Amino acid sequence: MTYFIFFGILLSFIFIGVPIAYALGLSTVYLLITELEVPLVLIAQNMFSATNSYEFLAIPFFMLAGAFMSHGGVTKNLINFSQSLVGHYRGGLAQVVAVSGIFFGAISGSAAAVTAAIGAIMIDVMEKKGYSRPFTAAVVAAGGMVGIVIPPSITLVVYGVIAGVSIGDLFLGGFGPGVMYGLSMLVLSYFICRKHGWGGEGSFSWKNIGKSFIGSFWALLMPVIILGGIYGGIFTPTEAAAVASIYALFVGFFIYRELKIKDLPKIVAQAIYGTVVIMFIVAAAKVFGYAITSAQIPHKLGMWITTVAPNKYVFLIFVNIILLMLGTLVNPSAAVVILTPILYPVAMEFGIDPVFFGVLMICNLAIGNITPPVGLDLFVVSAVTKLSIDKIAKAIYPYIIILVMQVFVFTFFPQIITFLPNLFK
Amino acid sequence: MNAKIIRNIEKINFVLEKVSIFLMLFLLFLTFANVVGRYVFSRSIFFADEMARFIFVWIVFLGIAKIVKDKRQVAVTLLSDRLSDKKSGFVLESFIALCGLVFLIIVFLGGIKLSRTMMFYSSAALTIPMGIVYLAIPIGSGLTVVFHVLNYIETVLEFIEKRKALKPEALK
Repeated sequence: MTYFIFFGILLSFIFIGVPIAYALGLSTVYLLITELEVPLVLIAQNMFSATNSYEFLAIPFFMLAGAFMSHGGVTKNLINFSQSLVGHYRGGLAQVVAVSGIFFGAISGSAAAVTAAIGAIMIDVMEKKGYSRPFTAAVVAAGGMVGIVIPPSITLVVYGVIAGVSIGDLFLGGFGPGVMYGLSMLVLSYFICRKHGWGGEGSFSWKNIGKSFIGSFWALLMPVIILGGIYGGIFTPTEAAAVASIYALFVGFFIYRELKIKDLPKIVAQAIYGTVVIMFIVAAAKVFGYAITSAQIPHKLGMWITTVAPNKYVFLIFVNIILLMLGTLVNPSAAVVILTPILYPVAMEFGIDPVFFGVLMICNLAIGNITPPVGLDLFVVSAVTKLSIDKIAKAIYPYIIILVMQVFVFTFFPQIITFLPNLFK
Repeated sequence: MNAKIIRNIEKINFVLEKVSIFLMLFLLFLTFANVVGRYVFSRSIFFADEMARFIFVWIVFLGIAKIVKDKRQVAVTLLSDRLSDKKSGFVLESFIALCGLVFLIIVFLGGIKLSRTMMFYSSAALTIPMGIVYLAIPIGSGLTVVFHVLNYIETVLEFIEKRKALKPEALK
């Protein structure tokens, strides 16, 4: 009974709009008082130990690295490079958006940042070439959402620290599905553009590819530094993020030369408060995780699920559905913070690979970024295009459908995710 | 609201932001210097890890005050968006504000207790009293309570204004 009231408080509070950190904290207060009989000082103690973490420091550093790069003038270069690769195909500019999303995802840790950067340039360009406005908005929002799956990814860092899974492995695991997401959009855009008769731009030439590659070289080197550094045992993920930020500062100031000293305070403040928004929930969820573990809730839930679900696939399908639904309501990092302590132990009882499970969670939640009514990417493109969310929603549904289909493909072919991490083991 | 109070609050807010920015940049260079030190001078900064964690704690707890002030906490706003400008929406807002207040006060009181106890423990590398690091909790959440209450007062005032504006029509 206590557990029903506990989850009842949690879910009803979240649903009526109590900020998630408070909802987690207060439902835990209830459990601490009634079931566990431990002093409430435990809440402050756990919030402290959650933030007293060197690993979480990777979050602001990755945010800084991405922001320094995009403010440094790399956006144009990456888009030019994508243009030289796929611009000549049918629906060329829509393809350029999808490919730039993949490249941009590799220097930025969040989806909204990628959407904003690409949208700032591509929306105007696409409209001038006659693409319809809702389609343009949908393509840019969808193209940006891969940013959260392709490493570095803030949400994967959050999962890695909470579940105690190697962030390096998770990053490599995100590559396969992230690239697949991007390429599937490319194919879908091709067919949509063929129907509307939107053509390609320019022609294919190796010379152009070479020239624009040199322009983007310094940006594309960043993911190599991050992953190479972590996998070469040269530095920890947090240090990798710090090195990447310093590298991005250097590139922005001295190579692309569009970064200005006076922009720094604003960029840093954005990274700080973006981090704090996540860390507030992480801190409140630490005591939540402690309380449900002490009350053996994940264990009991696991026992129950193993009796209901005959095998891990049924369990994973069930998890996919929950995540896809939750993803439409809260942002991916918040969903990971709430669900990891509950679902991770159950996944372990089914013998599911922890890296696979984490990346699959993020693949699900990423879709929430482009799902109405509250997908963050939709708000970003809606602000740029002045279109209502409803109008964009109609154009984005085909993309959501192919992404959801892929989630189930990943579920049954975990190699798509685990291939790269296993290769480097 | 009293203009002087608002001005002072904005001043605190401004200083908090500037201090956090400085600390974050410092952390970035500290972490980078540690890597450089390890590989170039084969010597790492022995306190870098600990110092970085402690400063991060301060940044987060002070930052919570700022995001509460700016109403940036993650929440599911479907219901409150639908009810905004209605009386039931105001009741909901009040309930949510109360939830926040209860939680923040629990954290604040816990933080005071912890920082007092922890004054007697010193940290491993820097050998400073842990209580100084723990002080981030009561100071951060104390500020958060202030911002939280001020936000609520603003909500109430706005609600009263709107009611007043509606009344003449209702009388007709």
